[in-house]
Amino acid sequence: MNDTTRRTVKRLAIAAAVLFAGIGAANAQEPISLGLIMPLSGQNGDYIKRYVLAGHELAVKEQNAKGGILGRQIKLHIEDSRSDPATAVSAFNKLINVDKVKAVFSIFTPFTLPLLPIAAEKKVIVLAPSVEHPDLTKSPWAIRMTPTAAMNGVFIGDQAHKMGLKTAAIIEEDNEAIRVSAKAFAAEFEKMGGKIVGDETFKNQATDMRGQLTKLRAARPDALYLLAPSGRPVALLLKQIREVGFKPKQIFTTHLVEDREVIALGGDMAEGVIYTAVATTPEFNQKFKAGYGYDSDVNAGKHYDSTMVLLQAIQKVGSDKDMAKVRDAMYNWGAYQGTIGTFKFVGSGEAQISPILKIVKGGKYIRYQP
Amino acid sequence: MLLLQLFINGLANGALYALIAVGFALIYNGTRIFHIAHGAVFTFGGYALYLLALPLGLPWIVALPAAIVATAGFGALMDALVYRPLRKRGTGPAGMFIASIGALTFAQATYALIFGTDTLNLHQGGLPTFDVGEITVTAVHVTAAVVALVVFPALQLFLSRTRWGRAIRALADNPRLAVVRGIDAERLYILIFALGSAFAGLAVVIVAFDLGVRPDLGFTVMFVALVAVIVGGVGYLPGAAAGGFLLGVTQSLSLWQLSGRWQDVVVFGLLLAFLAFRPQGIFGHMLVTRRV
Amino acid sequence: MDYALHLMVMVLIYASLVVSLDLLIGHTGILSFGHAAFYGIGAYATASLTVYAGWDWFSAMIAAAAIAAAIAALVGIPTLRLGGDYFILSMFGFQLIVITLILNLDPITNGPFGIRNVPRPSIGSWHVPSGVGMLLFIAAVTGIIFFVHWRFARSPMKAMLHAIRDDEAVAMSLGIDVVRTKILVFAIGGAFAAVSGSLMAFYFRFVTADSFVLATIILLWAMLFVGGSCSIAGAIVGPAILVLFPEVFRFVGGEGLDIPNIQEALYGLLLILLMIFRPQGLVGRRAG
Repeated sequence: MNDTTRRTVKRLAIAAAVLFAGIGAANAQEPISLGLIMPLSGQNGDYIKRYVLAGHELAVKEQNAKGGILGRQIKLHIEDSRSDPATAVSAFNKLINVDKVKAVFSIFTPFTLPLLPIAAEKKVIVLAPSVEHPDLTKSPWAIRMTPTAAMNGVFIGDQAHKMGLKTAAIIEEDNEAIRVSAKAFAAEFEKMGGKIVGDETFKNQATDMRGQLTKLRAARPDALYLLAPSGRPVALLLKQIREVGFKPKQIFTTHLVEDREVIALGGDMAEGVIYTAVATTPEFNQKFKAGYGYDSDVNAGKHYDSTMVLLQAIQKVGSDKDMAKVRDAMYNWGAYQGTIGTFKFVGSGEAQISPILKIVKGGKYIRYQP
Repeated sequence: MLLLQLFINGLANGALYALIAVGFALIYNGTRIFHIAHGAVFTFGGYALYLLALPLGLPWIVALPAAIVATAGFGALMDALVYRPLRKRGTGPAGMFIASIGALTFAQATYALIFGTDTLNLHQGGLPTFDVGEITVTAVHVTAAVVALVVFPALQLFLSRTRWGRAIRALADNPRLAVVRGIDAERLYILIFALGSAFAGLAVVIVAFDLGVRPDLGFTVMFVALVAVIVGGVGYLPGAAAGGFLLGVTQSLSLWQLSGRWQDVVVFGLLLAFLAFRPQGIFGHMLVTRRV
Repeated sequence: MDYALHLMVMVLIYASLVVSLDLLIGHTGILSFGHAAFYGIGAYATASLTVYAGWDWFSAMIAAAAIAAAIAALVGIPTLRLGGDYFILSMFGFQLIVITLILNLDPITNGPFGIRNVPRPSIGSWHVPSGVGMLLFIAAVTGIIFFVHWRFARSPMKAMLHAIRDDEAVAMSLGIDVVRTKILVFAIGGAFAAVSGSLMAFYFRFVTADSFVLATIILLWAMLFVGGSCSIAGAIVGPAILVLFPEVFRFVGGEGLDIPNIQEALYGLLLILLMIFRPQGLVGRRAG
């Protein structure tokens, strides 16, 4: 080549390098878009904003401070499903078409299941860490991260037997996932030689369970297993158990005994209650408190973990273009050390995690060591 | 014994339902307005009580009546701001109803904006209870029963013996004739709304001790009121009260043999039965002579 | 864009519901609170028949409409005979009963968790494709519903219904069998609402009781009055505004502002102001 040619080639090479760098930089600016659709107004709105949404936001903020993922910042688009399945679908469509999100965080079965057919079509991951309905993971685009309802029931059944309790009663809200817990508990307890002497149900939004509790009181059970899907019925039950003069030797329930609604009741309503839980690490709690000014809870931790796992899966795959690859990465992750314990991703959209037992002692929530 | 306890629980809940139903029925019969926003007025009373007692720290003996008066005032205010302008326009029942829905939605959203959606409790821990043999009743239930026993006969006396009371009945019976006879309808509407809302206030100060206050407190309560009014008979106040008691007792007794899952079905089955066989309610036949 | 398509579908489905509601409220004066219940009955019947009994979409849709009409007639017979007061309250109660039954009749309705995997409408093995395909399908069915109502509005039957609406006593004196006509209209309205329910089931492929609650019938009434009663155009304008208005809020930012509740408060205020200042709605012909 002569000099002119060499210079031209050099200039072209530089231009090409700048051009590619430019494209690379442009891509680096393009954020990783994630979506969140939850009922932010309505009866659970405040709780979801303070803990669930906060958990997701904390994870995003933290990761962005570290430089994001693959050199790109993460943007979380938040939508309110207004407790309406049709609105959830609208929001989902908007997030996919307008905001170009790659994955969406969701909560509550009736507002999550309708998203699944669209998710499959558009290849968007639906991450619903807390949804316990069995049908969720029938879709290959849905992932959850929660101890299953059955597991909780078995743990408690086992514990009740270990404590020498011979008879047990159940008070449960009429809800499919709750029924799974109740059945698992009953099966385990009876397998160990115990006897179920009562099983009463109340409807969602009921405020007076005294009739049911009075019936159970008459059966004089050693243990009472209290099951509801939200904090308010748990609070009402604990209060009304006192009021009808029902004094079983031991009350069992789920982590919802730590809910604000129960705390707001005051007094020693929850004293002595043993429950299944997953615990957040002190480090996470410190981070959370520093960011928001109040203590975290297990939902904040769980939803934080779900965000982190997703981001790490994207990191592992190296891009967010093909979410099927990211989904596969998550499915087959194996063990993931989260803030609430170790999750085992076993290849089906289920991330199993074992619950632990805690007890309310002196108004504090501590690990239960029998 | 179980049956008796369930029956007592039912009467206690019934007393509360009756208070709510009568308040709604008074307004409905007197003004023909389907005042679904009554639920929001109910909730307002709860928040008023909370504010008066907790941040403002007034003693209960002052806060309770004050909350009831505030509720009465809020109901009357709603009439002045929402329904009166519509009456001036000659709006029909459908339009009134839409406006009432608007008022309910606006009020509930405002409560959520100001107070948040978590429950505000007025009382820490469980309610004090009284034991009579093997039967247990909470203080709230006893209060509801006592209040109902005092207040309903008082209302009846008011409506039949006082000038205002009779004017309300005249208006309810035949609005046009009443106006022709010189009754000042507008002033009477204020009174009707205040009185009906006072009943809601009475009910909510009792309920608030049991359940705490939330923005949607009144919403579920409205269902009950409606069922009670249908069962008791539209247009007859004692019927609304009776409907409330019947509803409370049925709801509670259904637990005797059935699981709690069927409680709603039993209640609505009762409603369905009335709709199918006696849509004018238990006392409906009295309608020929009485509207209030 | 699927987002826009989805919004158009929602407007169409609601429009089909509002036009049949208008037949009841606007033309005949039947203030029905039960319309959302028939919508729900239609959706659940369609879902149940296709998913559990293996029926084809068309038969399921027709059957759902027939079931709704039958229930409407049964419910209407005792209640339409009595005064407007009873009817309003009865329909309130009816709506609550239907929701309770949906939530409790697990074998048919799968209780609180709803029915999934409703098949798309199909001819043989060809299924209507989602996206534009479903939009066209829904537009077609809604178009038919609108056409029927439009023809009705130009027929002599309209005068008869208006006579009933305006003054039942006078209508009776003119020889109109008021009660029988009202029952018939109520049943027809129920049937149309059920067809809208079928559309909803085919589109979402999932039915849940959450879609037919009290808030739904309140929304339908609001749509009717915002658009204006006794008006075909109103039945499109109302739904369009009340579906699109909340969507606008998605694009309005607001860190720390409780947007959803502000939106609800504005919505309530809008309804009140509408009734005070423009009760005939935007394009309606009659004030409420």
